[in-house]
Amino acid sequence: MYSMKTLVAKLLGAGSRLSDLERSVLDAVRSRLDRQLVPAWERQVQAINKVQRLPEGCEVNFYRMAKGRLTFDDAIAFANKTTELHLANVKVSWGKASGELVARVWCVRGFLFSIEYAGSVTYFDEAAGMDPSPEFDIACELKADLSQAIK
Amino acid sequence: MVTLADVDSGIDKCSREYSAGEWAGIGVSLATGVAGGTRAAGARGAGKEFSHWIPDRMGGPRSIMNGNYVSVETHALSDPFRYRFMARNWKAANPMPNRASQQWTRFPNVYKGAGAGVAYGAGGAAMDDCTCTR
Repeated sequence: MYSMKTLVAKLLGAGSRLSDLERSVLDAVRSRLDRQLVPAWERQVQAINKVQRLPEGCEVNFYRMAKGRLTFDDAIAFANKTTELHLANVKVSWGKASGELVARVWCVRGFLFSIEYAGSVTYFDEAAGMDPSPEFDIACELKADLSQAIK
Repeated sequence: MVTLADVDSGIDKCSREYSAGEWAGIGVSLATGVAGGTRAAGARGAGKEFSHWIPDRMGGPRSIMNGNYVSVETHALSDPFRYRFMARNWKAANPMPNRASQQWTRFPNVYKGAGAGVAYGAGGAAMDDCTCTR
Protein backbone atom coordinates (compact mmCIF):
# COMPACT_ATOMS: atom_id res chain seq x y z
CA MET A 1 0.00 0.00 0.00
CA TYR A 2 2.78 2.38 0.88
CA SER A 3 4.54 1.84 -2.45
CA MET A 4 1.25 2.44 -4.31
CA LYS A 5 0.82 5.71 -2.44
CA THR A 6 4.39 6.63 -3.33
CA LEU A 7 3.75 5.82 -7.00
CA VAL A 8 0.57 7.91 -7.11
CA ALA A 9 2.35 10.76 -5.34
CA LYS A 10 5.17 10.60 -7.87
CA LEU A 11 2.72 10.60 -10.78
CA LEU A 12 1.17 13.71 -9.28
CA GLY A 13 4.62 15.26 -8.90
CA ALA A 14 4.58 15.14 -5.13
CA GLY A 15 7.36 12.86 -4.01
CA SER A 16 8.24 12.83 -0.35
CA ARG A 17 11.47 10.86 -0.22
CA LEU A 18 15.03 11.83 -1.02
CA SER A 19 16.75 9.89 -3.78
CA ASP A 20 20.05 8.11 -3.15
CA LEU A 21 21.89 10.81 -5.07
CA GLU A 22 20.20 13.65 -3.18
CA ARG A 23 21.03 11.97 0.10
CA SER A 24 24.66 11.56 -0.97
CA VAL A 25 24.91 15.24 -1.85
CA LEU A 26 23.33 16.32 1.44
CA ASP A 27 25.51 13.93 3.43
CA ALA A 28 28.59 15.43 1.76
CA VAL A 29 27.52 18.88 2.91
CA ARG A 30 26.77 17.67 6.43
CA SER A 31 30.24 16.15 6.68
CA ARG A 32 31.75 19.61 6.13
CA LEU A 33 29.58 21.50 8.59
CA ASP A 34 30.72 22.59 12.03
CA ARG A 35 29.76 19.95 14.58
CA GLN A 36 27.38 22.38 16.31
CA LEU A 37 25.37 22.79 13.12
CA VAL A 38 24.88 19.09 12.44
CA PRO A 39 21.86 18.52 14.74
CA ALA A 40 19.89 21.34 13.12
CA TRP A 41 20.94 20.09 9.68
CA GLU A 42 19.76 16.58 10.45
CA ARG A 43 16.48 17.80 11.88
CA GLN A 44 15.88 19.89 8.80
CA VAL A 45 16.64 16.97 6.48
CA GLN A 46 14.46 14.60 8.50
CA ALA A 47 11.60 17.09 8.44
CA ILE A 48 11.53 17.21 4.62
CA ASN A 49 8.27 15.62 3.54
CA LYS A 50 7.77 17.12 0.11
CA VAL A 51 10.43 16.82 -2.57
CA GLN A 52 9.78 18.75 -5.74
CA ARG A 53 11.85 17.76 -8.78
CA LEU A 54 11.76 20.12 -11.72
CA PRO A 55 11.91 18.91 -15.33
CA GLU A 56 15.14 17.49 -16.76
CA GLY A 57 16.48 17.07 -13.25
CA CYS A 58 17.85 20.59 -13.16
CA GLU A 59 16.66 21.33 -9.65
CA VAL A 60 15.21 19.72 -6.55
CA ASN A 61 13.31 21.70 -3.91
CA PHE A 62 12.69 20.62 -0.33
CA TYR A 63 9.64 21.48 1.74
CA ARG A 64 8.44 20.75 5.23
CA MET A 65 4.67 20.53 5.33
CA ALA A 66 2.13 20.08 8.12
CA LYS A 67 -1.60 19.75 7.47
CA GLY A 68 -1.08 20.79 3.86
CA ARG A 69 0.75 23.99 4.76
CA LEU A 70 4.40 24.97 4.62
CA THR A 71 6.19 25.13 7.93
CA PHE A 72 9.25 27.16 8.85
CA ASP A 73 9.99 26.00 12.38
CA ASP A 74 12.35 28.56 13.87
CA ALA A 75 13.60 25.96 16.36
CA ILE A 76 15.46 24.15 13.58
CA ALA A 77 16.43 27.18 11.48
CA PHE A 78 20.06 28.14 11.01
CA ALA A 79 21.30 31.42 12.43
CA ASN A 80 22.19 32.58 8.95
CA LYS A 81 18.83 33.65 7.55
CA THR A 82 20.09 35.16 4.32
CA THR A 83 17.25 35.26 1.81
CA GLU A 84 19.14 33.11 -0.69
CA LEU A 85 22.35 31.54 0.54
CA HIS A 86 24.62 29.52 -1.74
CA LEU A 87 25.78 27.05 0.89
CA ALA A 88 27.97 24.59 -0.99
CA ASN A 89 29.15 23.13 -4.24
CA VAL A 90 29.29 19.35 -4.39
CA LYS A 91 31.13 17.66 -7.25
CA VAL A 92 30.20 14.07 -7.99
CA SER A 93 32.27 11.95 -10.33
CA TRP A 94 32.53 8.29 -11.16
CA GLY A 95 35.10 6.32 -13.12
CA LYS A 96 32.58 5.15 -15.69
CA ALA A 97 31.11 8.59 -16.26
CA SER A 98 32.56 10.83 -18.93
CA GLY A 99 31.74 13.98 -17.00
CA GLU A 100 31.13 15.14 -13.48
CA LEU A 101 27.97 16.35 -11.84
CA VAL A 102 28.04 19.65 -10.00
CA ALA A 103 25.37 20.15 -7.34
CA ARG A 104 24.87 23.60 -5.85
CA VAL A 105 23.13 23.50 -2.50
CA TRP A 106 21.04 26.50 -1.44
CA CYS A 107 19.39 27.64 1.76
CA VAL A 108 16.55 30.14 1.96
CA ARG A 109 15.98 32.17 5.12
CA GLY A 110 17.75 29.67 7.35
CA PHE A 111 16.40 26.48 5.82
CA LEU A 112 17.93 23.97 3.44
CA PHE A 113 15.92 24.51 0.28
CA SER A 114 17.35 23.23 -2.96
CA ILE A 115 19.92 21.40 -4.98
CA GLU A 116 20.62 22.78 -8.46
CA TYR A 117 22.47 20.50 -10.83
CA ALA A 118 24.81 21.11 -13.73
CA GLY A 119 25.59 17.93 -15.64
CA SER A 120 23.75 14.72 -16.35
CA VAL A 121 21.78 14.24 -13.16
CA THR A 122 19.70 11.43 -14.71
CA TYR A 123 22.85 9.43 -15.40
CA PHE A 124 24.12 9.77 -11.84
CA ASP A 125 20.65 9.25 -10.36
CA GLU A 126 20.31 5.94 -12.19
CA ALA A 127 23.84 4.89 -11.27
CA ALA A 128 23.20 5.71 -7.60
CA GLY A 129 20.30 3.25 -7.63
CA MET A 130 22.43 0.33 -8.85
CA ASP A 131 22.92 -2.67 -6.63
CA PRO A 132 25.55 -2.69 -5.28
CA SER A 133 25.80 1.09 -5.21
CA PRO A 134 28.76 2.50 -7.13
CA GLU A 135 31.47 4.37 -5.30
CA PHE A 136 31.16 7.97 -6.37
CA ASP A 137 33.94 10.44 -5.77
CA ILE A 138 32.27 13.27 -3.93
CA ALA A 139 33.96 16.54 -3.08
CA CYS A 140 32.21 19.28 -1.18
CA GLU A 141 33.23 22.91 -0.91
CA LEU A 142 31.35 25.08 1.56
CA LYS A 143 30.60 28.54 0.22
CA ALA A 144 28.98 30.11 3.28
CA ASP A 145 28.81 29.93 7.05
CA LEU A 146 25.44 28.81 8.39
CA SER A 147 26.34 29.76 11.95
CA GLN A 148 26.88 33.42 11.13
CA ALA A 149 23.86 35.23 12.55
CA ILE A 150 22.21 37.14 9.74
CA LYS A 151 18.58 38.22 9.95
CA MET B 1 -37.92 27.95 -16.88
CA VAL B 2 -41.53 27.44 -17.85
CA THR B 3 -41.53 24.13 -16.00
CA LEU B 4 -39.99 25.71 -12.93
CA ALA B 5 -42.45 28.57 -13.06
CA ASP B 6 -45.29 26.11 -13.52
CA VAL B 7 -46.61 27.94 -16.57
CA ASP B 8 -46.12 25.10 -19.01
CA SER B 9 -49.68 23.92 -19.35
CA GLY B 10 -50.69 23.93 -22.97
CA ILE B 11 -47.11 23.72 -24.22
CA ASP B 12 -46.38 20.83 -26.55
CA LYS B 13 -42.92 19.83 -25.43
CA CYS B 14 -42.75 17.24 -28.16
CA SER B 15 -43.14 19.80 -30.92
CA ARG B 16 -40.34 20.65 -33.30
CA GLU B 17 -40.63 24.28 -32.31
CA TYR B 18 -40.09 23.44 -28.63
CA SER B 19 -37.11 21.26 -29.52
CA ALA B 20 -35.68 23.99 -31.72
CA GLY B 21 -36.07 26.42 -28.85
CA GLU B 22 -34.18 24.10 -26.54
CA TRP B 23 -31.35 23.74 -29.03
CA ALA B 24 -31.29 27.48 -29.54
CA GLY B 25 -31.02 27.88 -25.78
CA ILE B 26 -28.09 25.49 -25.67
CA GLY B 27 -26.49 27.40 -28.55
CA VAL B 28 -26.89 30.71 -26.76
CA SER B 29 -25.46 29.23 -23.56
CA LEU B 30 -22.51 27.85 -25.53
CA ALA B 31 -21.90 31.23 -27.18
CA THR B 32 -22.15 32.99 -23.83
CA GLY B 33 -19.72 30.49 -22.30
CA VAL B 34 -17.23 30.92 -25.16
CA ALA B 35 -17.47 34.69 -24.84
CA GLY B 36 -16.90 34.51 -21.10
CA GLY B 37 -14.05 32.06 -21.59
CA THR B 38 -12.45 34.30 -24.20
CA ARG B 39 -12.60 37.22 -21.80
CA ALA B 40 -11.19 35.04 -19.02
CA ALA B 41 -8.36 33.91 -21.33
CA GLY B 42 -7.10 37.48 -21.06
CA ALA B 43 -4.93 39.49 -23.39
CA ARG B 44 -1.32 40.51 -23.71
CA GLY B 45 -0.54 43.19 -21.16
CA ALA B 46 1.80 44.40 -18.45
CA GLY B 47 2.52 41.66 -15.94
CA LYS B 48 0.86 39.03 -18.10
CA GLU B 49 2.48 36.08 -19.84
CA PHE B 50 1.05 33.59 -22.23
CA SER B 51 0.74 30.19 -20.61
CA HIS B 52 0.60 27.40 -23.18
CA TRP B 53 -1.55 24.33 -22.60
CA ILE B 54 0.30 22.32 -25.27
CA PRO B 55 3.85 23.66 -24.79
CA ASP B 56 5.68 25.73 -27.35
CA ARG B 57 8.44 23.10 -27.40
CA MET B 58 5.84 20.58 -28.60
CA GLY B 59 4.54 22.88 -31.29
CA GLY B 60 1.66 24.38 -29.34
CA PRO B 61 0.65 27.72 -30.86
CA ARG B 62 0.37 31.02 -28.97
CA SER B 63 -3.37 31.33 -29.20
CA ILE B 64 -6.18 31.56 -26.68
CA MET B 65 -7.33 28.26 -28.17
CA ASN B 66 -4.16 26.83 -26.57
CA GLY B 67 -3.75 28.72 -23.33
CA ASN B 68 -4.39 31.86 -21.38
CA TYR B 69 -2.69 35.15 -20.56
CA VAL B 70 -1.96 34.93 -16.85
CA SER B 71 0.19 36.55 -14.20
CA VAL B 72 3.82 35.46 -13.89
CA GLU B 73 3.02 33.72 -10.60
CA THR B 74 0.06 31.79 -12.04
CA HIS B 75 2.17 30.79 -15.03
CA ALA B 76 4.98 29.53 -12.80
CA LEU B 77 2.66 27.56 -10.53
CA SER B 78 1.12 25.74 -13.48
CA ASP B 79 4.24 25.16 -15.59
CA PRO B 80 7.37 23.64 -14.03
CA PHE B 81 9.44 24.83 -17.00
CA ARG B 82 8.51 28.42 -16.07
CA TYR B 83 8.68 27.78 -12.33
CA ARG B 84 12.41 27.06 -12.35
CA PHE B 85 13.18 30.64 -13.40
CA MET B 86 11.47 32.10 -10.34
CA ALA B 87 13.52 33.40 -7.41
CA ARG B 88 14.48 30.75 -4.85
CA ASN B 89 12.94 32.82 -2.10
CA TRP B 90 9.60 32.80 -3.93
CA LYS B 91 9.83 29.09 -4.71
CA ALA B 92 10.49 28.33 -1.05
CA ALA B 93 7.17 29.94 -0.17
CA ASN B 94 5.27 28.58 -3.18
CA PRO B 95 5.59 24.87 -3.93
CA MET B 96 3.88 23.72 -7.10
CA PRO B 97 0.38 22.29 -6.78
CA ASN B 98 -0.30 18.78 -8.03
CA ARG B 99 -0.25 18.04 -11.75
CA ALA B 100 -4.03 17.77 -12.09
CA SER B 101 -4.35 21.28 -10.68
CA GLN B 102 -1.56 22.51 -12.98
CA GLN B 103 -3.34 21.09 -16.02
CA TRP B 104 -6.65 22.63 -15.02
CA THR B 105 -5.01 26.06 -14.70
CA ARG B 106 -3.30 25.68 -18.08
CA PHE B 107 -6.39 24.41 -19.86
CA PRO B 108 -7.69 27.19 -22.14
CA ASN B 109 -10.47 29.20 -20.53
CA VAL B 110 -12.25 29.27 -23.88
CA TYR B 111 -12.98 25.56 -23.58
CA LYS B 112 -13.85 25.85 -19.91
CA GLY B 113 -16.36 28.56 -20.79
CA ALA B 114 -17.76 26.53 -23.69
CA GLY B 115 -18.10 23.48 -21.47
CA ALA B 116 -19.81 25.45 -18.75
CA GLY B 117 -22.15 27.04 -21.29
CA VAL B 118 -23.13 23.70 -22.83
CA ALA B 119 -23.58 22.16 -19.39
CA TYR B 120 -25.82 25.05 -18.35
CA GLY B 121 -27.89 24.89 -21.54
CA ALA B 122 -28.15 21.11 -21.59
CA GLY B 123 -28.94 21.07 -17.89
CA GLY B 124 -31.79 23.48 -18.46
CA ALA B 125 -33.09 21.36 -21.33
CA ALA B 126 -32.86 18.21 -19.23
CA MET B 127 -34.97 19.76 -16.49
CA ASP B 128 -38.17 19.67 -18.50
CA ASP B 129 -40.40 16.72 -17.90
CA CYS B 130 -40.72 15.80 -21.55
CA THR B 131 -41.80 12.22 -22.09
CA CYS B 132 -41.74 12.32 -25.87
CA THR B 133 -40.75 9.10 -27.56
CA ARG B 134 -39.15 10.75 -30.58
